Amino acid sequence: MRLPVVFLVALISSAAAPAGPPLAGQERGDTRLEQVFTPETLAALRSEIEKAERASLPTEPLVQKALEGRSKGAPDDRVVAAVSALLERLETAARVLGRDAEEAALVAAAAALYLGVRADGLEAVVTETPDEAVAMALVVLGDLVTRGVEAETAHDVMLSLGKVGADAATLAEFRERVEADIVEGVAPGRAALVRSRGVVVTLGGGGKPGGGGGT
Amino acid sequence: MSHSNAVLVAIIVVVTVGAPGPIRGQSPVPPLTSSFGPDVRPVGLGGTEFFVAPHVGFGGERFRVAGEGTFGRGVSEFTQGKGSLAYRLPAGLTLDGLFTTTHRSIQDERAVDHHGRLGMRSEWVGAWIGFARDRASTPGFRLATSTREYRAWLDVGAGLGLTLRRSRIEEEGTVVFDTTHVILGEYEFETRKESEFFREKRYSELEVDLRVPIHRLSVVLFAGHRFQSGDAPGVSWGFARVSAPISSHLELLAEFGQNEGLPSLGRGPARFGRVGVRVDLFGRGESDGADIEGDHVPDRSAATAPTAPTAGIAAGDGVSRLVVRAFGASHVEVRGDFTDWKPHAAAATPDGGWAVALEPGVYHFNIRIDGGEWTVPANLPSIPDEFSGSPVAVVVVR
Repeated sequence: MRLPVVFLVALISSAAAPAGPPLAGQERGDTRLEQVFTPETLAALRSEIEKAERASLPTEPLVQKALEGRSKGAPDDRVVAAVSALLERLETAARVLGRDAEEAALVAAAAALYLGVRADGLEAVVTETPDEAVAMALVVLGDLVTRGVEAETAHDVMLSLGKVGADAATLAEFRERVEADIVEGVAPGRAALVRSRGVVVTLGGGGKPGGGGGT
Repeated sequence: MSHSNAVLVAIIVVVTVGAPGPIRGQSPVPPLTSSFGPDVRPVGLGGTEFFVAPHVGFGGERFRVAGEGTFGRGVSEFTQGKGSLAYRLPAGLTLDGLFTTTHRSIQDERAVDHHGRLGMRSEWVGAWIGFARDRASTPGFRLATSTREYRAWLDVGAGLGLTLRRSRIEEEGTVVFDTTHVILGEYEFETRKESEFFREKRYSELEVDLRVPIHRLSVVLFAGHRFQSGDAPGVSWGFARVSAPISSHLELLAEFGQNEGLPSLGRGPARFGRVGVRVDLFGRGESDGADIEGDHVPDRSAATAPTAPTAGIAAGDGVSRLVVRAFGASHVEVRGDFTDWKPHAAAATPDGGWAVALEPGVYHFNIRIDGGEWTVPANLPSIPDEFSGSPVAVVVVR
């Protein structure tokens, strides 16, 4: 019962915390990129950003990817390559989620693709998950894969959670418990299956999630 | 006693067999866990003594019960039965209890002890009431005590634990033992004053308990000294205890030191040492209940130790905040999608966290504590970045 107490305290005390105004997208992308990249690199980055604009895709994630690369000291060609790859993943995500998908969901979907989740797998999860929980579901999906759950098993688990209407908070809690189990030594696939089964039963589905075995 | 300075060496092998998959925490479906196994302790105590301690425990979502019997034979005879229970109540409260009965005989000495405790606790505050009834006899001397103890503790958490604890022992209506513990953070100070001891001696004791988590090692250093009146020399005792998890299945244990002896029976301090390995066939799971033994003080080594930083999203006043919690930090920075990947100093919160306000979205970020390496909170999802493979945390703000 530790987390709820800590979280409650955080809620109460941080409400008055001097955290400043919300942060996100400080300036126009071009201005920020001009300050840190050479004209040649800037031209290559602008080309990718213009492609995104023409495709009605969000451009801020591309700007942030470039700035992340610069912040971490990556060579310019690698930064451009990372931005290009992200653009491709955003395009794929948009095909799966729809052009009107929220930027958050697209970013989460692009991250899941980066981690090896298949596009058709994404589509099924998005279809089955309540709209408000799509971004979280995709983040959790990517996290399961990162932690060693086989992509197919992770996909099946998230699909089963989506089918029983698991909301974002439930998914976040599910992820934390899977992580804790893995830390305790439980096989990642097994932890995901057991925990998802608990959620499915609790939410009334009663079915057995996934068809694949654990890792 | 001839063995007062003997070296006591024990080897502990605990084999725990549990239901497959020790699932920690509160799962929607109670994953019953159970364990049983021997605890074998060959002991050198001026001779040889072997202990066998079969134990069994099981529990579920809201409760754990455990029982253990310990049987020792050799230079002494030792029989102990122990039962414990813990039941989780709403609002983060846990009701727990412990009952132990021990029979021990060494040469001409015999002792029978009964101890019980029943308490209520949460993560931050708790109290318990305990009783003990001890009887010891040796030729020409017989001792009987009846004890009641009341303890309460408060832990303000977030790296600063404060526990005030007072114990009183009465012997046939007379207070002979009055102890006050003050525990601040990782340090525990105890002053103990016994107005009158069993042999009409007056003395005070000071005990210091230092718990030092070093990476995965857990180190406990304990020292005590008794200041006695008159010409009686003072007595010191203490021990060092190290436990090192090798994997989720193995843990090495080592402990050595000197105990305070049993002054009521005229027995002086004795050195002891113990090494062992804990084997858990299915990985360390939730405790089978043995953890409720002790003084019900929260495990500060786990609760407030300088562990890896964590983070979460808190909402208030219509604003969502990323709150980082880092033990002992004096300066926390974040960089991520919301700072254009430039270092940004997080603002300190009244409860010891470090906050940054965020608009709704999905963000990738790193944190840095006191100018150290950029890292990620231990409890959030993370992915390797495309540039160096170093982890980047992912957070969803709704």
